[in-house]
Amino acid sequence: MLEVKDIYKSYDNLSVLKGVSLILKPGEIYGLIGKNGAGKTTLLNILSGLLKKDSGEVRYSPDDIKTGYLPDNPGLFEYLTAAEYLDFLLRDGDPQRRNELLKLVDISGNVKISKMSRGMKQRIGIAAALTDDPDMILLDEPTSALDPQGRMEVMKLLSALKASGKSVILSTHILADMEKICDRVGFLSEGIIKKEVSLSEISGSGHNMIVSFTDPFTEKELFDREGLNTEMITDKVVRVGADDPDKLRKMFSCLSDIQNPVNSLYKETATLDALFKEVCL
Amino acid sequence: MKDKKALIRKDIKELKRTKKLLILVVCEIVMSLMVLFSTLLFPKILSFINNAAPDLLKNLGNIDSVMTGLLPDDLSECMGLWSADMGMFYTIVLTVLASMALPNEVKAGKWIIPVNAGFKKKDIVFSKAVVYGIFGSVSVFVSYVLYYLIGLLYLERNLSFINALINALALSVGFFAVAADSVLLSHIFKSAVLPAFLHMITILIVPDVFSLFDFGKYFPTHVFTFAYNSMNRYNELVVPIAEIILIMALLLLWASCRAKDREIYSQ
Repeated sequence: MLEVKDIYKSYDNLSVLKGVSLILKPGEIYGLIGKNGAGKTTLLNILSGLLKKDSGEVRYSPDDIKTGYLPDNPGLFEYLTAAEYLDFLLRDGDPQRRNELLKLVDISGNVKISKMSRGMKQRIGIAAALTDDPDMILLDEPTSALDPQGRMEVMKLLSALKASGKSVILSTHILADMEKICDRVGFLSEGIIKKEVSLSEISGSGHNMIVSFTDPFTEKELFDREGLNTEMITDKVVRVGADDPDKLRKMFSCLSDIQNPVNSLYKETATLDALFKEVCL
Repeated sequence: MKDKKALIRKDIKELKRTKKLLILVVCEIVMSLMVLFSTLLFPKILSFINNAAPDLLKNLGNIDSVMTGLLPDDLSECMGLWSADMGMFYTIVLTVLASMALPNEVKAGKWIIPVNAGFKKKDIVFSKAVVYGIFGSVSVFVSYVLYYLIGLLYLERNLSFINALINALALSVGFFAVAADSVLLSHIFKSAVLPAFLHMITILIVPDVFSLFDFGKYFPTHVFTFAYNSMNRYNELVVPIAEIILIMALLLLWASCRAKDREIYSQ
């Protein structure tokens, strides 16, 4: 659907994108993760055609693919009502489509935009990005600055888009939202996509065991001797690196050798949060 | 054409609902009242003071004849005064509103979604220039004619209705150009400050200075001087109006060239 190859972009002397490449498959939701200033908005502006790239290639398949874009701070004409705003974008020619969109985002058409909550404005922004019935939607921080209810409303809407088979590139700082909705995520750091993972991969790829002891943990040496990495979370809770069956067997052997009774033990699931720290920080 | 119609409809709603039209109308009403009251009342107040306390204004000589000279109570002079004051204060308000409209919206990211939805920047600029121009000029035309009709009741009738209509038209063309050129220049220079400053200087100083010279009537600013002086040499309007149209066309062309690509300029 979309192939991005070696995109470079700089502002004056500041190089923001230094060879970004990614592929978006049809019907896929791709999450873009990165620190502030990593270039997520710049990349989305380039993909939407609103900003010129210095070099590189953006290839759509088919060529005439329609894209919708919701910027991170969607300035709406606040003196218009929701229906008037959508009518304006539809050139006053498609009341049926306007009503479909209002129904999709669950907003009454006669509410003035200036009177709307941030969540409602964001939903109108999404409806605006969908006016042309795009095949691919670019969403820049659609849930930022929203309260939990607003976030839930937008996430519900994104689920509906996913169900309707739209391809989406989504950028957000709220990694829990990404975990709920994305198929794959790319970590944008130092001007490139440093790592790409599929959410199905990371949800089943725990590397660590979290062990909680009854007494303070003083048996680190024993674990070290067996080649097991340990990291104290509290004085009684320890993270043990056991990323293969051999290490897992060794860990259980160590636990049976020590006198400190184990209260609980569970496998730590890899999270986007942990990956973000590993890749971007 | 569909795009232009949708943009114009939206811009009309903008002017009405953001109270910008109200600001323009209030400015005109305040100016008109100020001119009317000063014309009708000032000479009478001074005359009254002079009669009641002759010693008070003795050193100022024949003050009421001086004031009557400055604020004559005949329609032709009064309309000239109205046009001059309107040219000064209304230009400031109109230029500021028109120059700020587009840069402020661009800065707030309001055009990202519409541009992505297929609206062309040249159409956006065109619509804004036309709507601000029409509202800025029509309201001047209407208020000039209204002021003239009110003036008929109180002042010496030495200006014909046809003369007043032509003066109102000349002023309207001038203000249309002020508003439209402010929008176009603000887009060309990507800033509200420079066009606003340029326009204020041009409209506030140039007509008066050029009216001192014979060649002044060949410049676009003559449409303002023409209305101040309530002249009836209509052929003098041909060259300035043609120049105004030419300047607007050139600015529109320049603005369109700057608006060719979809790249946002708020970055």
